[in-house]
Amino acid sequence: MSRHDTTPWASLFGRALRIALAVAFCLFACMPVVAFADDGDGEDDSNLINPQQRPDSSFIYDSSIIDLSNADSYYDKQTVQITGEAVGDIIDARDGMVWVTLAEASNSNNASVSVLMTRESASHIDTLGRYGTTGTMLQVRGVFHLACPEDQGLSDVHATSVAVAAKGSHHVEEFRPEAFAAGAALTVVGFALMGLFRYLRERQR
Amino acid sequence: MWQRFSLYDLRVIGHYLGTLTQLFAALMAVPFITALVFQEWEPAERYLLGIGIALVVGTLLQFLRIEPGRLGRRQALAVTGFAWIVLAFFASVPLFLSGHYATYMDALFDGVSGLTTTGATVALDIDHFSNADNMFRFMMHLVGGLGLIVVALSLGIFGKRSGSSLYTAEGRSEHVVPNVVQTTQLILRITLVIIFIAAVVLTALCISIGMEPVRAVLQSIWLAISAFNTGGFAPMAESVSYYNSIPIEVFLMLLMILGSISFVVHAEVWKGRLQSFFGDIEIRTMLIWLLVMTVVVAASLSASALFSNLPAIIRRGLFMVVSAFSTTGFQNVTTNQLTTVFSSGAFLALALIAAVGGSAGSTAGGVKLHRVGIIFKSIVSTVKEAVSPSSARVVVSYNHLGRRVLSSDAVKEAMTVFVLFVITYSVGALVGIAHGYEASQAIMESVSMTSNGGIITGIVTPGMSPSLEAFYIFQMWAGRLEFVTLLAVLAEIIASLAPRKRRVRQ
Repeated sequence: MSRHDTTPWASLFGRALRIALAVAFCLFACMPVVAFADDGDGEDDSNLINPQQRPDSSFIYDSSIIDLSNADSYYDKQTVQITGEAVGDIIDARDGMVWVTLAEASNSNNASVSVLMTRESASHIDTLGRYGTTGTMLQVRGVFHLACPEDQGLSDVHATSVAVAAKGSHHVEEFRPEAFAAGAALTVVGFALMGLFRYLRERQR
Repeated sequence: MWQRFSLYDLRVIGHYLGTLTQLFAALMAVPFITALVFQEWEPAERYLLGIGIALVVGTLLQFLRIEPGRLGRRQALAVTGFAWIVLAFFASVPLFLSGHYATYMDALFDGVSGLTTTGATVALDIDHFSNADNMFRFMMHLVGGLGLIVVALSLGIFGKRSGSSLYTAEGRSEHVVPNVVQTTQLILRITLVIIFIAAVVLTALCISIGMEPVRAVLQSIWLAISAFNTGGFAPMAESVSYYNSIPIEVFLMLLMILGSISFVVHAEVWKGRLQSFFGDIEIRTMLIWLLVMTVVVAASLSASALFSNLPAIIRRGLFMVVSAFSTTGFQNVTTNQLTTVFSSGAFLALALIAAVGGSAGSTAGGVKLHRVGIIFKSIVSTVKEAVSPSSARVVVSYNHLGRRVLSSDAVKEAMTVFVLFVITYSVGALVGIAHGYEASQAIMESVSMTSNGGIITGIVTPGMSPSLEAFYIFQMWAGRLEFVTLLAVLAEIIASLAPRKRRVRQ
């Protein structure tokens, strides 16, 4: 069907649809974007995840921690965005800042990176990854240094914004006596054999 | 003519290996108790199973010879040679069942690495290791650093009669006190006192940077063990970088240097004889060597575009020099930085430092400064002979627990071990290259494995090629035994397997 065949009703409908889309886009653009933990506008503290962030292409890199652990000089001083599990401890750093180690979420390797952030940002970490605990998943935007001049050559990320991507969790380990059966039985047999050995050795003397 | 192992020999060797296996079962009780204390039930199950297996197999091995009698030199060599690999097999059981290893071979690699104090690891997700697993890894460093035989002797397990031959077979010849058992007990005492003091200091430092007290205590004990025994395992995947603390790094450097000094020299200082400390050939060689290589590494690092500021060179460069020299393997730079930020000169200088290693009679690996000093003195002697009249008798002496004259036997021993190390470094590098890796990385990894150094550059990774992994296991094992013990045992095994030649009657 050619353009000239369009009825007035169809033309009106098309115009209305375009206006509706434009209004929707304007509304969407004007929506208050949920802040990062570091942004500090305090509009909605309960929602720390920015759902619009992932498809946003305004960052220079959407990197993985594995990328950073294999980074070459091209990555140096670039703004990166990484997501990883906060593990270990929150270590005091200079100027009231703290170090948080972010580990690759897949746990299939030992890729991790030190992130320098404010204590306020670190306060959003509810659990730190350790044995029996999955740490808070943090989404960090910041500047990556292959050899940071401020920290005497450390490979790190200086966070400019930190968001919680997923809360941490504890894994309760149940005590199952039956799981100890094989080890206990072998240990008992081992001690019995030791006793028998001593007896035979004493008899030989 | 090569000596063969008789059936009697094998039974005696089996008996003593069984005794060491029982000792290892007792060692596994430490992580088992740790697991119970921290209510880590799954690791507790694994370590109880490990204890059970080691006890049963160890005692069955003892049954091979109920009254083994005095251990001969050849038997002692075999016991010492096999102990490292046999115990690594037992260590690999709870490690593999932890789920932190991609393959069984990886768990065995970590067992050998732990016992030989290499400190390279192929474990996955180290940051989530249980306290029990970490305790076990560092207990392996403790007994491995001291020497399996030293620990066994100090606990009176082998009795007095077999002590001397076993002590010598483990690569130790110097006695702090005349009695071997008392010597091993003194070594154990020195180690435990230093580790205790170090753990207290490190705990204070860890708490000062905000760590939780329980984690601070545990990680301090582990770091102290690893540093003084020049091991290299660290509780966190980022190694020492994790702490981002200059005081901790400085203190660990001090511990690593202490660990790379001979126990005999430690004992002299213990007794207040500082003169023999500063006059010792090894201490002098160490000071000169460290000074020269620090300058070389610093100069080389200053050429690096990313790493050229002075604080970075001092902090990262000096720490890595001490870590390589002591063959500990702690890192305050990432593996990636070693290959991308460090200049190739600094990288190879670290390999050379690790290749030479620390003092003989210490927990450090490598060729050893003592041998380097003797080889240097031998060169001096050769030059002196060349410029002296033919009738002159050239005498070159050195200080090592008193004044000693350079003998041809000492030079021969030093040269033999030196050449064996160089051959193994080279062959290991070629094996790495044959597996498709960069030459510089292959050299570094080969040196790290053989010298039990542990600084890795990305070849040693979880699930690595089994053939390369097997070769690295062999390198760690051979390097820890300083080749002679292992080669002697291998020669006897080959001789024992070869068919006997019939005598032709005339």
